[in-house]
Amino acid sequence: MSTGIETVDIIDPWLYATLSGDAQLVELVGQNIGGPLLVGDVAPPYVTWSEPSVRDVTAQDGGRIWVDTIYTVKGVAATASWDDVAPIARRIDALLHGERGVEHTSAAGHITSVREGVVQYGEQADGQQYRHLGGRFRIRAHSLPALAD
Amino acid sequence: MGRVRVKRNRLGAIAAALPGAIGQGVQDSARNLRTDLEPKLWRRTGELVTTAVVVQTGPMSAVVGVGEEGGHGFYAGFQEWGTSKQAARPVVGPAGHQHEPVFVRDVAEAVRKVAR
Repeated sequence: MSTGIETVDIIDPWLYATLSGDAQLVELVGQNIGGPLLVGDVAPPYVTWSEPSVRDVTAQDGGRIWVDTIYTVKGVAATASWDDVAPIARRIDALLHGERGVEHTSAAGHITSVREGVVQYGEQADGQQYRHLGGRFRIRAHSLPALAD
Repeated sequence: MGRVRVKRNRLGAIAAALPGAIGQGVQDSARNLRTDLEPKLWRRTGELVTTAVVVQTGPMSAVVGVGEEGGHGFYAGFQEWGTSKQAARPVVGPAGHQHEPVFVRDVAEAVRKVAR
């Protein structure tokens, strides 16, 4: 059975640690990595994710087995070329999907992450071109009981 | 071991009816998703609601979409995915996500009907 608030207990910390702890991604965007509150506060390039869509998966007795979430994680760059934002998106994909999805287990819980599609679009504001590129990731998580000492 | 005699075999008829039943389940589910989506859409002028459509893309597939590319409501994508200065306000993706178990139930029910 999974307990707690899995998004803030397990997924968000893992997402932030995974992305901000990657030297290659930090080389591309610096420390500009964060959730929705980041947008508008920092100048591109940056990596951000949107508030997730969350659905509980429960057993017939009402016990929660895991949470099923969709996160959009993308790189944003002030550019008219996909070539400039693609390295960021490739790094996100490597970290959150890898070759066949990724798994992570910590004391807090267990996570699987799989990309379900590419998110790609352009934007023009005040004469400036922007490119958004990343993915839509299905991230499932369930908490683990505290490990006995 | 006793012999088994098949008195009634509907497997052929069921198999023949399955594509139509699944297709009907898909269309019904897509229409339900569009109906669920309408009251959740971003409202400023009300224009976006008029662009919410169900498009049958095949005998057993359908797309529920909002906003015409390059046309009315094209900015739905900016609401859904965000801009360089505005965080995403996703509505369509989460509606589809929440609808997944309903979709499975709708199609399973359609299959059950022809198997009776």
